Amino acid sequence: MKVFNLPDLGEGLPDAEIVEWLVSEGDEVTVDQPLVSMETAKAVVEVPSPFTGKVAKFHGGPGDVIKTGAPLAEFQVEGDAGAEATTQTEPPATETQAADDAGSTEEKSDQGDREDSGTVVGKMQAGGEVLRERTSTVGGVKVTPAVRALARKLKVDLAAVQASGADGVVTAADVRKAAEDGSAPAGGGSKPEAPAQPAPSPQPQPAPQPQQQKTEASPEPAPRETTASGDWEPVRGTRRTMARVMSESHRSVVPTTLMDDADIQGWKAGEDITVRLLRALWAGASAEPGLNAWFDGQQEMRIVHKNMHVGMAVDTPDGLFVAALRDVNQSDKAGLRGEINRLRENVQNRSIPPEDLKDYTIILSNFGKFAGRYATPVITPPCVAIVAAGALRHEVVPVLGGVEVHKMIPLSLTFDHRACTGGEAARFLKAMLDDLSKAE
Amino acid sequence: MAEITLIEGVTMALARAMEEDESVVVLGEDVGVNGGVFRATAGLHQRFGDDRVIDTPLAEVMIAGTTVGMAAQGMKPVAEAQFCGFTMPMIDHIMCHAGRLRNRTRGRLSCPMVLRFPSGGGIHAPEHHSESPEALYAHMPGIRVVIPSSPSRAYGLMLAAIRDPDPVIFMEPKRIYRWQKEEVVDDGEELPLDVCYTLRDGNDVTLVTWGAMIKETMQAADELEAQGVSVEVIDVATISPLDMETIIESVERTGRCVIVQEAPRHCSVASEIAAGLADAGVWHLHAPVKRVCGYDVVMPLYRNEMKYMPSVKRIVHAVQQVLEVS
Repeated sequence: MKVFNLPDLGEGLPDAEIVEWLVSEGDEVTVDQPLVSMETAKAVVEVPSPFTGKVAKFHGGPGDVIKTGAPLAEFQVEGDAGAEATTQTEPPATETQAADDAGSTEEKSDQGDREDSGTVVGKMQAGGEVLRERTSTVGGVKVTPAVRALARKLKVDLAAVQASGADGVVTAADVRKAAEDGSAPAGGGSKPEAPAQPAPSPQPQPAPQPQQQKTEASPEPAPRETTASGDWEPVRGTRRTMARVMSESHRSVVPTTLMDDADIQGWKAGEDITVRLLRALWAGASAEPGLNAWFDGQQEMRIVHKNMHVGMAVDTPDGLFVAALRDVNQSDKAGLRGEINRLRENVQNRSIPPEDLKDYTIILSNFGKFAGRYATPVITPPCVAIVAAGALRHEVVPVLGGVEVHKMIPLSLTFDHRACTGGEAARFLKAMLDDLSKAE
Repeated sequence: MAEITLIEGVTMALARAMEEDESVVVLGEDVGVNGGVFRATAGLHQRFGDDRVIDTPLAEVMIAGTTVGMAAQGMKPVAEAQFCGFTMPMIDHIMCHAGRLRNRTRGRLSCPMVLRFPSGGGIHAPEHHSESPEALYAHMPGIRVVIPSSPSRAYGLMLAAIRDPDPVIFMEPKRIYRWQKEEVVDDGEELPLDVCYTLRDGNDVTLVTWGAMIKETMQAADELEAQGVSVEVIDVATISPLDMETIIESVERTGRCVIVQEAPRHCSVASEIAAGLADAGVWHLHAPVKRVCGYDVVMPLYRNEMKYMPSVKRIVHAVQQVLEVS
């Protein structure tokens, strides 16, 4: 039995549609006898028979699309015992096809004197075996190695992708689509949407329900697409204060943030990072006093402070407190450390007197002990500047003749651009960096 | 859609890339009129002309230098070296210039070049024709190293290599250039360059390999499956950067790993993978990681060539050994 695979009927056409069989199954045909008319993207062409013999089987009827290279018909050829179907990689029609495909320099074995084996040295193995990569099953979906690799590259969870291929096979296009619309992020489990929004912030929504009512009788929010897993609760106490202060800041301040790294390679072992940061703040204010100031936007007035009281952000489970550390510019290391500890303790015990929570002139947020590099810290008016220190890290730095690994503290300075210029802020930050880079 | 061989996949990708981007040029000894040492560039000269398919003198150092220069100036050269052993004179340009250009200019310039060459043994070639120097290139910072193992991956990875903004060493496993055919659509779709390809799933052991050894590894997997062993096969495909994550994930599941490579064992990619597994996956391992490799000798001439190459038998034996440890 000989299998006739559909040759390329045009220039690289992927397939063709059977218009009409010009013979019937069981007919005897001769070589070059018109066998079938087929419509390609370009024309309707008649395909001649590559064999003399009996047409044993058609692989499709009118209207069926046959892929180039896929079986079109089977023949019983004289001298062919007919035991087993041979796919046509060697027999007539595809041989010429294959030679054409492979380029004109390929094997012209009848040319005689010099046979081009496709290589200048050695013996190449050539096989007729056709590779069909089997799909594997990942999370209950069928997928080929290339598509699985693509999913990994695009960070798409295959289990959550809508399969469009035959037999439920996930195609590359499916994975791309999922990556684009974000419907199947890897690592997000099979519920992609649920954790995306914890709770809608009340601000951007133009209030279908007034805010005041909201804090009362545990209100039901408008129906949502996905069911929230928790209950609505009113925000009280320090959290509510935080929300108000932050809103006030957002409404009134024009914040601009500068970021840079302090190279602290020269520090002695055991330096107190917070104390050094406080000292650097004063160094900054010495260079640019305008950042250690208060600003009244309505009256358009400011006070540039002669002393420095630093508001230190202290994180607690109940919310953020900003405790004031007085006269930082006049304190020594031990004094500062003692005062910091006292304030922290008072905050943690919730025994801090109100006067310790106000009248600071600049703010320091040292979030680096948790994580994070840079930030866009938020100013509490009437202050005009806040400095945030991120997580200490090692960084490769270029030095004369090579590179070294230095310890760095990333700093982010937000200033109120109504009250300070960019130049003032940059010089302030530069003075901080210089002070922090000192050995002691 | 055509059923094509691995080398035809390379040709198809080259033609596609040249068609879509005029800055892509092909250069090397005999890549033009003659169509390249294994005919990977057949037909390109006719189609794209002298300016874009350039026959160079027989001088590897010049080819490499010219390629780096072209790439630094905005072209996308794809250079052919005729055999892996002849890339050794090119190393200065690859390591000291191509791989460093981005860093040296702080990102102002990159080096979007591809150096492609047939690699590996098993075709009865003379000396300097059969090396597997992937570890050598993978050791160079700033260089990607890619080895396809099927016609479709040759096509997709080559396209990605050409489009990549950084230098790519594209090693073509010549022993399997014409071993298999596969239906490959010439649709310009590239394949990811930094992930492994899991060719079959299994639960008992992970076989990790790349390039021509995919042939013996898949045959070994068939044999082992006939014995009732469930084998996962990973084609690494991109040697550098190495996607250890896929390998570790697989080994976390199977608990056993055999790495198969044609290159000598000492300081090799197989060693790197084994070290990566020891580093991150040791708690999941039920048995030592085995490496089935070529030997630490000069690649022998053809009478002994097949004694050197990892065989199906050696792979099956190694798997049986790791399965014995419980």
